[in-house]
Amino acid sequence: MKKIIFAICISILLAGASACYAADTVKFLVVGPMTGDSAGQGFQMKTGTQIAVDEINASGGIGGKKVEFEVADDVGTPNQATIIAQKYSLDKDLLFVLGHNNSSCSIAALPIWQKAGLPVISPSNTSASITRLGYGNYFRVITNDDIMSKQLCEFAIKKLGMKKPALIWENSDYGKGMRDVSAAAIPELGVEVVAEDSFISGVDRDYSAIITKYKGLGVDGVLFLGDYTGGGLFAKQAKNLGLNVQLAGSSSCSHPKLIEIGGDATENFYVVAPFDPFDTRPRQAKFIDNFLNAAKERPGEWGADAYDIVYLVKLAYERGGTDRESLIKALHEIELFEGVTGNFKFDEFGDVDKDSLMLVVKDQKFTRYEE
Amino acid sequence: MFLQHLINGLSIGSVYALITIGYNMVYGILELLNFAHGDVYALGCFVVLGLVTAGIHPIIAILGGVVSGYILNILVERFAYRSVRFSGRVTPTISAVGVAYIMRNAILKIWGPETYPMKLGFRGTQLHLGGIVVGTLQIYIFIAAISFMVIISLFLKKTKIGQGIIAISQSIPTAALLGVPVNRTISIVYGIGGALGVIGGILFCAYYDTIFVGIGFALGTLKAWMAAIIGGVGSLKGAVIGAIMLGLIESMVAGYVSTLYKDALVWLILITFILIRPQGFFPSQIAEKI
Repeated sequence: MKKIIFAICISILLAGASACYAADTVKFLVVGPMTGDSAGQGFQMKTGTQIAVDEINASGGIGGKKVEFEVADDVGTPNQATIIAQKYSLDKDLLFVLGHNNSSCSIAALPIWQKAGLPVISPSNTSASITRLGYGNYFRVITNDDIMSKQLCEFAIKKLGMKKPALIWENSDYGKGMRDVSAAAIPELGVEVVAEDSFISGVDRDYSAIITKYKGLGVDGVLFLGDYTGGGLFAKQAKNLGLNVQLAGSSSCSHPKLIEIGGDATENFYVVAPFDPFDTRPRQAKFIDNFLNAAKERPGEWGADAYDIVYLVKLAYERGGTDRESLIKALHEIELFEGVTGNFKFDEFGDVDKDSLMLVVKDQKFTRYEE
Repeated sequence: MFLQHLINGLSIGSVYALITIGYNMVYGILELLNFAHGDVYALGCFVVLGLVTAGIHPIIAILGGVVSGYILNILVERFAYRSVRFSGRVTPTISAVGVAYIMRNAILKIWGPETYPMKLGFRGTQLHLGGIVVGTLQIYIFIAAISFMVIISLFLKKTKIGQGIIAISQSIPTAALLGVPVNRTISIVYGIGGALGVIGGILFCAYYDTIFVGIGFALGTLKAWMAAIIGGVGSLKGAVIGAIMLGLIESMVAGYVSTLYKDALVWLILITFILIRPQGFFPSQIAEKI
């Protein structure tokens, strides 16, 4: 009798387990800042994902399965990111995680995601160090800061002609990484960094002391390596205090909210951007149109990269990446993915190398810089 | 550039001063470390944002915010502090921290932690005086801080309620024996503290053209408390001078030493100051209880 009961229990357990794998949906998690100082970026991630999922579901899903996703809010802070990771790593139905948006969040949450064996694919983490931390489950579809910061510095010195540049950086993993690369790259271009300052994102709101110092030092250009809220406020206060110098910023400044917060002080503010929101190639133009309809704003890298990630996983899934482990393998094996943000493949660390471009604020709108 | 740093410091200091006046009133009279002050007025400021966004005229919206700050603080006093008023100093302080979290989470629930542009219509212009830039808004804020200091001083000295407040700060039982309506008077102190906080908060938002949840604790309570320590607990003059000194220290440290270590250095200066002169520059003129 005992044996029969044991056998029944085992078969129930097995049935449950196989039912779990035989689910008729492909489910994943979008995690990013849905509120907070970078909420605009989280909103873009969600919108880009939604557009891709709707398109895929309308054309038969992934391998005949419907795609669905949940959205979690990490507020852009590492402590909240770990709470989210602990909660969702218990969800056995998730195939992968699309996120985080902020590098510091990924760094904090990755050990937890790795324990659960979940592949994590970020649309926007640019801190160069993440892919060198040794987590085999991590990928990103954006070029890291080592490369983008060098591009920004080269542009600022060679094209904008900055001779006495100052660096102001957000005191976080993201900002510190860019600061280190820029502080090394600028002297190699034959120009000295005249001043360097940091601020705490989400706390510091007053840049008057820094601006006054720059005026005294005769700074002729400022590289702002931080979020768009800080970038907008800095531009506005610099204008008020009469620091009329060329401003250029990192990719996280390439958001329309920079202009909303900074107003006309952001005119001629240059930013490095991994995605061109004015691209006219047919596939890109169609995506941008759909995004504009859904979000009433043009997509930045957050929206476009999230869109690409869903299609990237579709390709990997169709090539045998149907569970967490095989998906990681399949992602590494993709030899070329053609996305709206460019063509790429992953290196052994989960990094990509895509071209970036420069955007500039003209008439209170971002436009593509053309030589 | 030294003069410009001086002007910057004075401007930041005047914004802190307005916030500190309300804080120091409550702090001085009840000796309660009111950790909820900033978050209460932050909620009041967000009420203003909500009203302005709904299309209401900024002046009416600000009045709405000030009234809500007054009412909120009265409610907080009634339900969170009154029942623990005589339970030593630790209990009310913890109660205040609890209120701060409730207020902050209310803001986070409704508005979230993002930064919003605050369009109140009074932006001011910049005056260029031989290389030095002074904003007219900065001047108005400075004048407002001094005016409120004078008005509140006169209120305390010349009105019956003001005299009641001073009596309570000396001894609650004696004040009660002399016929001062203790509960009502303390309610008024809190109400005024909250209303002044909202005015300070609004000017803070106007100065930076933005509003976010951090105006409550990080830029409100903490700065007001530091300013009160420097200036002298319970003294209105001390509140204003302490706040301006704090603004100047921050500005000078960021301008001449380091932005990376700004907060650490400012706190170091504060700790040294407490060790040397714990009563602040202008200790309250009211005699200590014996």
